[in-house]
Amino acid sequence: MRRRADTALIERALAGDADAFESLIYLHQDPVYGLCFRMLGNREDAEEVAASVFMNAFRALRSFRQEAAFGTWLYRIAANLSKNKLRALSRRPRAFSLDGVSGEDEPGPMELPSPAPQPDEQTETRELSDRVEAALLRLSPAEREILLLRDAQGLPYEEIGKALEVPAGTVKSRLSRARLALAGLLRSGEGAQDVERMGRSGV
Amino acid sequence: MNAQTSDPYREWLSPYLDGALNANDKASLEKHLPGCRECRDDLSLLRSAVHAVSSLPKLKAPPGFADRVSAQVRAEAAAHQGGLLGKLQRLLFQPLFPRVPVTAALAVLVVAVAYNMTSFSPKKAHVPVGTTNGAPAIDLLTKQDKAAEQTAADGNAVSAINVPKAGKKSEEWPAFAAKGSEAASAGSLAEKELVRAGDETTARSQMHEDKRRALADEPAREESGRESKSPPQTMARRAVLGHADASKMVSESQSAPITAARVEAKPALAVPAAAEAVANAEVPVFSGAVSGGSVTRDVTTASVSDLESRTVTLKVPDSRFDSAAQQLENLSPPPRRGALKKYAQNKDARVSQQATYHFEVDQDDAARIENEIANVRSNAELPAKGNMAGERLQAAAPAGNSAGGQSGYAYRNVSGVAGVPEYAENNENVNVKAGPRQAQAQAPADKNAKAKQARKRVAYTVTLEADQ
Repeated sequence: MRRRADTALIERALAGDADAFESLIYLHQDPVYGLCFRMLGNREDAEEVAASVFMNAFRALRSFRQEAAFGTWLYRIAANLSKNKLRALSRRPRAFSLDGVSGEDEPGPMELPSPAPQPDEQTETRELSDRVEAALLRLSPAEREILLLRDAQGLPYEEIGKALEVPAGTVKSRLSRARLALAGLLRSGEGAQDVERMGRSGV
Repeated sequence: MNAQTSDPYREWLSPYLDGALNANDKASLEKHLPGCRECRDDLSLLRSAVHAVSSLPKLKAPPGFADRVSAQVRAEAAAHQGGLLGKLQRLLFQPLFPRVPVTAALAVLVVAVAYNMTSFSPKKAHVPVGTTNGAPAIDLLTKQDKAAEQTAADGNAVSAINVPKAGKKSEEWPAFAAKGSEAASAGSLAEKELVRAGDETTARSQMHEDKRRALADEPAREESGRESKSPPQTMARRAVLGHADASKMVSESQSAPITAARVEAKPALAVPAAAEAVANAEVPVFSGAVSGGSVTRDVTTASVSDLESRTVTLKVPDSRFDSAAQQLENLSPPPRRGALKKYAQNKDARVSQQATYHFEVDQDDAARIENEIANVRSNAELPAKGNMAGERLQAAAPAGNSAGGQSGYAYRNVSGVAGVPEYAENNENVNVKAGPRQAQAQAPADKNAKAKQARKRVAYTVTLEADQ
C-alpha cells in the first residue's frame, strides 16, 4: 500500500510536482531521521544527515529503479551518509577532556529525543532505552545499521540485503553477530537484569 | 559464540527468531534445542537483543524538519531553472550545508574553458564582443543568475552550459518548477547538473577540499556571486575570465569584429563532483541483481573524459532564422529542441528570436556535426566582418594540446585538469570508497589508459539567435 503510494508520488515528482516530493519527505522523515539519529547518536548530526538523505534522493530520483521500496532506498542512502559522517567525525581532532566527559565524537550517552519530564514508568523505560542506545553506539556502524534496519525498522531480510547491498546469507550472519554483540554489551552493563528479563520474556 | 558442535543450529537461531527458517530447519532446530544448553543460551541472548532494539521508542523528526528540507529541495529546483526567482529562493533558503563542490566544479570549468578556447572553424570564429551574449560563456557560468536575468539570454544562458551527465545517459533530474516560477525547458539539464555537482554530501566536502584547492588557485565563490579568481594568466584565459580585458586585448591588436558566432569547447563541467557523488554511492542505483549469493551492481561512474560539452552560438538575420532552424533540425542525429523564445522588437534587444538545440554525438562524429553546423552558419549568418581575432585567440591556447585531432584539441588537457579519480569500491558491504587522496594518487597513472578506454561523446548546445 505504502509502496504504491510512494510510486505514485515518485512519478508525480519526476513529472515536476514539487508537492509530491514534499509528501515523500513527510511520509519518510521519521524513520529516516530515526535511523540517522541512532546511527550517529545526536540530534544535530542526525538532522543534518537526514536532510542530506532527502536532498540526495531528490537529486537521484531518476536513478531509483523501484526494485526496492522507496523507504529501503532512503535507508540505504541514510546508512551510507551516516557512515560517511561517522568517518568524518572520527577524523576530526577530539576535544581533550580532563574530567572524563566524553567528547562530541565519542559515542556517549544518547541525547534524549525529548527533554520533557516523564512519569516514573516512562522514566524507567527511558533509562533502559538509553542503555540500549548507548550499547548500540558501541557496536560497529555495520552492526548497528543492520540491527536498526531489522529490529528497529522491521525490514525483511531481502530489503536489508538491498539496502546494504549484501547477499541474504551475509544479512543473516551479520545480524546474528550484531545481536549477540549487543546482548553481550547489555548483559555486561547495568541493565543486565532488565535485559535478561527481556530475553526470558520472549519476543 | 565460539565454534560448537551444535553448528549449524547456531546459525539458525537468529533467523529462527525472525521466522526466516524453512519448515524443515525450524523443526530440526526445535528438536535440537531441548538438548543443547549453549543454543538455548544464545537464543536467549539473541532474543534479548531483538527485544531491546525493537522496544526502542520510535523517533520523530524534529519539528519543521520536512518543511526545511522541502524548502531546500524547492530552492534547488528553482536554482535549476535559473532566473530571478531562483536567485531569490537561493538567498532565502541557503542550504544548510556549504556547497563547496559547486565552487570546485566552476573552478575546474574556469581552468578548463581557458584551455579549450577553440573554434571549429577558425575563419569564422570571433571574439565575443558587444552582443547580448557577448559575455564569454564562463561569465554566464559563474554568474548564472546575472545571465539569467538578462531577458534575452534567459534560458539560453543556462542552456549554454550543456554539461555531461554523470554516468547514465538517461539520468536526468526531476525538473521541479518552483512554485510561481516557470519552468525553462531549455538548458534545465545543465543547471541541474551544476547543482548536482554542487551537492554537498556531508563528509565529502572536507575530503575534497584539498583537491579542489589544488585544481584552482582559489575556488570560485558561486553563491556570493563574486568572480572567480583567475588561474595563471594566459591570453586565452584572460579572454575567458575577464571578457572586458579580452575584448580590449583583442581590439587593440586586431580591431575586434562584432561577434557573429561563438564556439567554445567546454570541459565536462559537472562531471568531477557529479561523478564523485555517484561513485560515492550516496545516490545509489538499485539496478543490481542478487544472484548466486553475490550482488552485481550497476554503479554509475563517469569518466571525466567521456563527455565533452560544447556550445555554439549562431547569430543570423531574423529573416534567415527559420531556415537555419530547419537546417539544424534536419541534422543527424536529430537534436533535442530546447526552448524557442521570441523577444519583443525593441531598440535595446539585440536578439529577437532564439532557439536552442542539443546534440550528442560520438567524438568521431564531432567533426561532421561541426561541419554541418558551420554550413548552417555560413548559409544563414550575417557576413563576418573579420576573423583574425578568433584565430588569434585560438593561437593563444596552450600549445602541446593539439593531439587528438580537430575536435579533441584540448580534451586531454581538460581531463587532466579535472583529474577526477574514479573511486575504487570496497564491496565489503559498507560501501567504503577509496579516499580522495588515495584515488588521486592513482589517477595520474591510470589517466591515460582510462582516457583511451573511454568512449568519448561530445554534447553540443547550439543556440540560434536572430539579430534584429
